[in-house]
Amino acid sequence: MSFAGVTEAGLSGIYAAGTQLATASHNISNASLEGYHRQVVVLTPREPQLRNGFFVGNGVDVQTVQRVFDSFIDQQLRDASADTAFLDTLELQTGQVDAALSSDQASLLPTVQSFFTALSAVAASPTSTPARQLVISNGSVMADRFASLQDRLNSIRRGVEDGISSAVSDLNSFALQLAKINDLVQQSALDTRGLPAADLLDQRDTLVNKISGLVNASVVYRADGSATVSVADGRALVEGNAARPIGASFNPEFPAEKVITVTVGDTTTFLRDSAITGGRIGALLEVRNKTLNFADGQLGRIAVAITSAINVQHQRGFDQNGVGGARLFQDQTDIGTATPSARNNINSTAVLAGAIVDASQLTGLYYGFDFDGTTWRITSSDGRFVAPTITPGDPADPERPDPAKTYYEFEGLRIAMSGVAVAGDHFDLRPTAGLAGGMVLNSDIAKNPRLIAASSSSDPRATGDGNNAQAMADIQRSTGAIGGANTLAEGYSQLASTVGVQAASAKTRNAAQTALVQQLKSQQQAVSGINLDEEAANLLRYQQAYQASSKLIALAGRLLDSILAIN
Amino acid sequence: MRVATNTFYDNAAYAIQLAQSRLVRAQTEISSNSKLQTAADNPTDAVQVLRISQLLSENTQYRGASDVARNRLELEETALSRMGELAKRARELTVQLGNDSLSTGARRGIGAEADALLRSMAALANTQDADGARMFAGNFTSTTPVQSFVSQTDGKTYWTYNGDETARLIRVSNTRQLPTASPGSQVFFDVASPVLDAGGNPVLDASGNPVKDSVFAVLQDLVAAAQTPAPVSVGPQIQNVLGRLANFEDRLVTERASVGAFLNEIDAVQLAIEDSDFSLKGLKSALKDVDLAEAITRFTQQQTVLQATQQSFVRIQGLSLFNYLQTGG
Repeated sequence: MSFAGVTEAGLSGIYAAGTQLATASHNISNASLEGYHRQVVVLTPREPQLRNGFFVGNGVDVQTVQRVFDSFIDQQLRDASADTAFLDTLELQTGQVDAALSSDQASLLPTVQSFFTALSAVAASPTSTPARQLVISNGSVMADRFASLQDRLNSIRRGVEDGISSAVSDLNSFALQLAKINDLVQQSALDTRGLPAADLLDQRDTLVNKISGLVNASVVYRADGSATVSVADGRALVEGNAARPIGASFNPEFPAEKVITVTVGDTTTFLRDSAITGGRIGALLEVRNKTLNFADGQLGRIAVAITSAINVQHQRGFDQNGVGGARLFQDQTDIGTATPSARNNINSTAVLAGAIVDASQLTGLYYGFDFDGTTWRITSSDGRFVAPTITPGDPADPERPDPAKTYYEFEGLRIAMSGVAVAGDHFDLRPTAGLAGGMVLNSDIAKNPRLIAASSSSDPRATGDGNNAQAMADIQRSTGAIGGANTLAEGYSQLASTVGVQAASAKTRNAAQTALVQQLKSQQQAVSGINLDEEAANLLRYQQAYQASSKLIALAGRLLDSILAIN
Repeated sequence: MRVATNTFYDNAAYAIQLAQSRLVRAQTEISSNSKLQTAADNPTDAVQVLRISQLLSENTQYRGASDVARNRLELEETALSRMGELAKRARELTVQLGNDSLSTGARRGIGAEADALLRSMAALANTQDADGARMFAGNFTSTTPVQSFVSQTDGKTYWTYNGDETARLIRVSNTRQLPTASPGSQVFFDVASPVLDAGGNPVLDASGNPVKDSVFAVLQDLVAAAQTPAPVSVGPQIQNVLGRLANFEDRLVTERASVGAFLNEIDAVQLAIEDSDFSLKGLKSALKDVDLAEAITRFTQQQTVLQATQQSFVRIQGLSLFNYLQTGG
């Protein structure tokens, strides 16, 4: 027996209990920190000493301080939280579009109905100036409502695009932080022979969680404790102490839209939206591509179905002076040219000029055009191959007069192809997007309601003829007005209910997901969270251990004293 | 199970948020009296509500149109009934004029009254509706349909129709367009009988069209007959006038019968609109309106849940071992 042994054991106990007290204090002070895992001190008995043929214990060693951690639950919680981040954003944004389209205050349909009601009143009383005036004012109210709805969609869209940029910059900032933390984790692993500091691992995991809340990320933990995070089909975002930020640039094809980019050296690659899923960024892209673009196209389709049908009928009628009707609304049939892809061959001179030839046949979808070397292949945004009627231009054909052009006709559209295309060229066209903002009454007629062509007779004396006004009013009931098979109201119902279903589904999924996250969080906290009462009890326990070990040193002193006292 | 202190707070916050959002939802429904704030609340019902509102709006159109049609037909009915009385009086005058014992002065008196009848009849034929449109002018509603001119050749007054031949139609339902106000040419004129002059040639108007026989021509002939000095017999003229007058009265009766039939039809249409409105509004209300008793019960229930959650949270939050730890001991 050695006095030194007692002292050593006492000292090691003091050291161990001190470490435990410090760790309990650390736990208490970090109790409410997001991502913090409870830490425990791992103790082992010191290697015993062989003395006189047997082993004598030598006290205790602090092996390490580690976090209490169940990687399975933590990963489940991370995945579920990423889904919540996705669904939160999806619910919020689709909810906005839904509210714009179908809340009582914003609904479009009553204004459309009022416009047609005014037309039917003119049909009954074509000589009444107030009735004609009402067509003008209700027509303006309807056009304003379309425009304000378009405005609302545009502003939601701007919010979404800004959201993409800010989410990408958040993502890059988390990536840089994670690269730094990875570096520190690697250092601390070197310092401790492969046991990196628990707090650094917590910080690492918190950043990984934040990244996967922004976008679907696959995470691989290296032996040195660093996390490798890749996004978008395996592009490394963070690897060891290096971060490779991604970008959000305007899409050259649709300048209002942001697209995710990856830059390697001097080369910037535009990623397909389909490569980016999950998280806030994935949700924003999905809202834009599935909800906003759909609503935009459909709203424009309804607007142009009204203006075209009314214009065609109005031009068949005669005003109060017996003069043939002009267009009641500004013409919206010229839809401009398709946008060439930035990847197109530089020698390509192809121009695709679009026009609406039959608004009732429009789909409201978007189209992509791909040149295969001989002909254009057309794909619609709902994933169909479209078979157009192809007619070469002919001066004898008033509809398709230019011999230098080839006319492709499909789904209410006519696309005049000119110039020389190179195989692989790609063009995009959104025929009806934004058209709701362009519904404007003919200003001449707006100033002079006598010019409303209510009559179907060219005789200026036929002032009581309201047949053409009736024909215009009947458009509201026409079952061929939208997509050749539906009334205008049905077209709008379909739009409102499709968006409504998307919003309702995001809401329901999010409610379920939030409950799941709540449950997983409780489970994770059950393993890794701090219970302050437990720490309080531990404090008492370690305090006693500390006191007992201190007594050992005092005891060793007294033992020595008693030896010295033998004299 | 081990419970982390954070879990108390997290779960309480989650439960309170859930209770609050349900409370707010119930409150919004109660204050707006609507279960459907947006389509997302129930896409199927929302589509139904849109469809119903479309049908209600069509009903509004048809109600407005049938009101216009009713006003016009009632106005026509009044004019036709007044014309019937005038025709009856004209027949009495014609019969009186047939009495060969009348003096020239008495004949002139009858002639003066007949002339007044003729002007009243013409004024009724040129009646304007609430919009200032001529009732019996077909679509030429700004044109005075019945006009007279004095012939250059024989100095006589002839009556012409200047409206058009179309009955004005008003759509009162998805399937029915009702004629309102027949053109005057059908009511007052006999298109099959051109008016002949003394030489037996058709009389032409300013545009060269043949003048047709009409109630106005009949009354004009009565006025002319009354100018014949006594005791020259006017027997043949009287017979002629009586025959043509009867023909015109027949037309009036037929026209009034069809106006009456159209008015009945409008009654039926409006009744159908009221019925349809009633059931559509009921359906819409069932889909959209809040069951207030249910919503208020739900509100109170959520309120209780919220209060209980808050109270239990405060109680649990007060429990801590640290409260019993002596420092410095």
